[in-house]
Amino acid sequence: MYSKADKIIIWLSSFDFMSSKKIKSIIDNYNIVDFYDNLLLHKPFLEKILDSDQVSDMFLNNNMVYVDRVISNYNELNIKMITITSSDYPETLLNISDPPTILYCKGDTTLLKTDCLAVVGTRRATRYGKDVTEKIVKDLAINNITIISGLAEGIDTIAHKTCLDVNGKTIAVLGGGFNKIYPASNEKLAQDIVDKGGLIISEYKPAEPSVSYHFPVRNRIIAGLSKAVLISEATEKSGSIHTMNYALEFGREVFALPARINDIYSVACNKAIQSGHARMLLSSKDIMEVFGKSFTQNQNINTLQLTLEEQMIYDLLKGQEMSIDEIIASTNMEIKILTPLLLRMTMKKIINKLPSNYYSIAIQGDL
Amino acid sequence: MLSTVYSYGLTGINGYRVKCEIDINQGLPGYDIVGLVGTSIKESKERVKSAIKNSKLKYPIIKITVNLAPADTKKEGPIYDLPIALGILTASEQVKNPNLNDYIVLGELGLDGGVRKINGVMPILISARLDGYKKVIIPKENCNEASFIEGMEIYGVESLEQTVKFLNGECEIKPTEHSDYQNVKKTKKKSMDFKYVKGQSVAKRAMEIAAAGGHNILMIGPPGSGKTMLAKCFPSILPDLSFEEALEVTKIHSIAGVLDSKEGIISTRPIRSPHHTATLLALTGGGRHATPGEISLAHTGVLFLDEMPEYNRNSLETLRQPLEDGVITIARVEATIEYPANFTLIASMNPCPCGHYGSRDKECKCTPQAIHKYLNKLSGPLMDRIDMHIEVDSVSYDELRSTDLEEPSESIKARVDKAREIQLNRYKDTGIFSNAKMNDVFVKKYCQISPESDYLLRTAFESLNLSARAFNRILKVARTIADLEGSENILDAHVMEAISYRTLDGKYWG
Repeated sequence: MYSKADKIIIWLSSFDFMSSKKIKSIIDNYNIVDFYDNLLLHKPFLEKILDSDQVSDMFLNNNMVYVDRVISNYNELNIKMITITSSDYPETLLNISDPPTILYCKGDTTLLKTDCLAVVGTRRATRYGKDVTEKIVKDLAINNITIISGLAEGIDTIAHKTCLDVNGKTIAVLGGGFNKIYPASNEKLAQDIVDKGGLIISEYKPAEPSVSYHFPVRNRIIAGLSKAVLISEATEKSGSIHTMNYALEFGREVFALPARINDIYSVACNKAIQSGHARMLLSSKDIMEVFGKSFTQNQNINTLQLTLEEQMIYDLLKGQEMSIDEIIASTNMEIKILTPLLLRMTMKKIINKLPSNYYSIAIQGDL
Repeated sequence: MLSTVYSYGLTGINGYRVKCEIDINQGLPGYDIVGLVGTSIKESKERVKSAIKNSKLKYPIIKITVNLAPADTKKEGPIYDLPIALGILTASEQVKNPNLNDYIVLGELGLDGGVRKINGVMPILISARLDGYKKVIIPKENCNEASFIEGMEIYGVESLEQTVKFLNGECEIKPTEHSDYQNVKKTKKKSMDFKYVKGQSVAKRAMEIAAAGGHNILMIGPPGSGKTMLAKCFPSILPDLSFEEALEVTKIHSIAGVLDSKEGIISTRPIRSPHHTATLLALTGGGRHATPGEISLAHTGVLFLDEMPEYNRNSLETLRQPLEDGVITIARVEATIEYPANFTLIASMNPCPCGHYGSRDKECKCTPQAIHKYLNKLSGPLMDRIDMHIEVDSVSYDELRSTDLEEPSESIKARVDKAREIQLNRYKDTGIFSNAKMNDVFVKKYCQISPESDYLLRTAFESLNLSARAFNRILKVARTIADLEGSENILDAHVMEAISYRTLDGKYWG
């Protein structure tokens, strides 16, 4: 299953001092199998990139027993390693500046070669961000676009979950090893992704912890794997900015969700649109065009049947979000009548309840 | 020579008779007191001695032995000063009253011979009356409190000298006049009025329901949204205390020593708001002598916990039993005591440590973990016991400045009273008084809903991601809403409204 070249890379990466950059420089300069077979011959090259202790360490541990043990261990855990030389390695990643040498994978690895859309955004999604993300992800997932995200809280979680809900394919790129999923609250989601035909990948060995500086680095994989990136909601200091910058660097299409200008959770999105870094997303179709596919809508839109009272509330909320006190002021309805009415409309998904007793119209139909 | 004077002691809110036996005999002058007495009683020796001397009476310089029976119950407090002094004076034949044993005597002495106020008079007298005693001698300052007890001759005394003269028939003391609870001026301690609360219609409506059904309520909102103000207004719409309830509350306050001696009886529902640094014992009651805590002092009234997650988690968890049973059982080395603790819990909290989670105009700076940790301080079982969760939002400047008159507390109270009346009739002779206290059997019996409502409830559960434990709570609240409407049956709208007070369940506590 693993070729000799794979094994050699796994062997190389077993040394802590062998960074992916160094491994890459070997791969770039030599035939990796030839390099290993004549390791002694290439000692001068190794000495150039490593210090003498490290080189002697490599020669001391020059055997494949360790590699075979690692492979069988990982096989038991259903972890597959895809090395940069492997034919399974996604081409999309090869043309980025710093591709990971080994991808640790759990789940359906063929997804790596499908059409992917990255969906990223804040960990504290607002109702608006949540609704739109759900809607877009749903549209794309049923059109066979693979949704990539980072398994973080907020937008990431919404993207993965929504995708699984409509039996779409999703890839989660982690910022740490598989042994300890971060955040812990998404452990079950990670398992669900694997169970339902999705994929979780990481460039870190399973035992490695998730540390904060992994995440910006991890974002390059998210950007690299995907053909387009959607930023749903992002504050000014959001990590999504990294993903956007990588995507621009790799020549990927970037979409951002526009929002009201005073919306603190969308400042970065609006700015990206203004500066021309990102395209303004107005409909799922915009993204489908990038993938060059025709777009089929979810046939689930029924015209709203509203009662007189419901219509009144609907018309009122059409223009703006309103608090319950404001609704009372403009309709003169009693609170004891209004509360059940608003709940009923919320349950019918005509309106949304926002924090602090505010209500808005739910997103309907074509987007 | 031997003499006996009867007095009373307290375990919990019940009194028991204490027999003070005083023996004076030939021997070396001395004073011994036995009968499992605490330090404050041991110290009574000096008070009694000085009081007798300073009352122009003679302190016998011989061997004095005092025994407080029953000898196996720990006794505490200075209330036996007066009975002991009278016992010594009787034994030394300075007090001559053959009917002394018809009296119950209570009182603390000062060195000058004055009789001072004591704690726990109300519960003691109620027990004494049940035991068949008709005459009591108590400190004058406690008379207001005692005057509400019917069918007893209550003599309030100011000094030892006066007491001795009274018992010897040398002067007359008029028994305290009986006060009627109906005539107590309901001097509502200017509790705030809902008419000053602008906007907040959801919160006000929820409070009305909470007051009508005795439901517990949790307010979630950013800092400065008026949670505390709403809580302070809450007592103004609570139904009046009945005499039985008033007696019970007064008993507890009397034992804890926080009763206002001028008022004598507590005529309005208490509202207690312990600070969040309050210890577990301060909340539940306890200490060596197991005195009542905040939750017992809030009996029949309101316990307001501001910034609930700031409280010590252990303290909060101890609220679970009282919230369910309406009593708190405190076990101590010296006694195991049950205090009533039937209160309405009003709690408030911010949605996250910084307070702006979900806010419309301020960014929340808390990490998801921090929010999770904050909300997790309130355990599921505790949240389960809080029937209604509401969001309180900050009020805009326009609303603040508007001169529109809001509905005054009085008219809300009228509706609450009506709903309470319906409940009192429904639960006649069942031992419960409000919808909130219904058990499963009652819920089945009184909270029938139509199949349509049932279907609604089912869809609500699914679409709003409610937890199963919310089910009974929703029905109880729906029952109260129906009662407020004067409706026999629980209608769709009632169920819907009740559900809306549980929607935060899924949002914050998943």
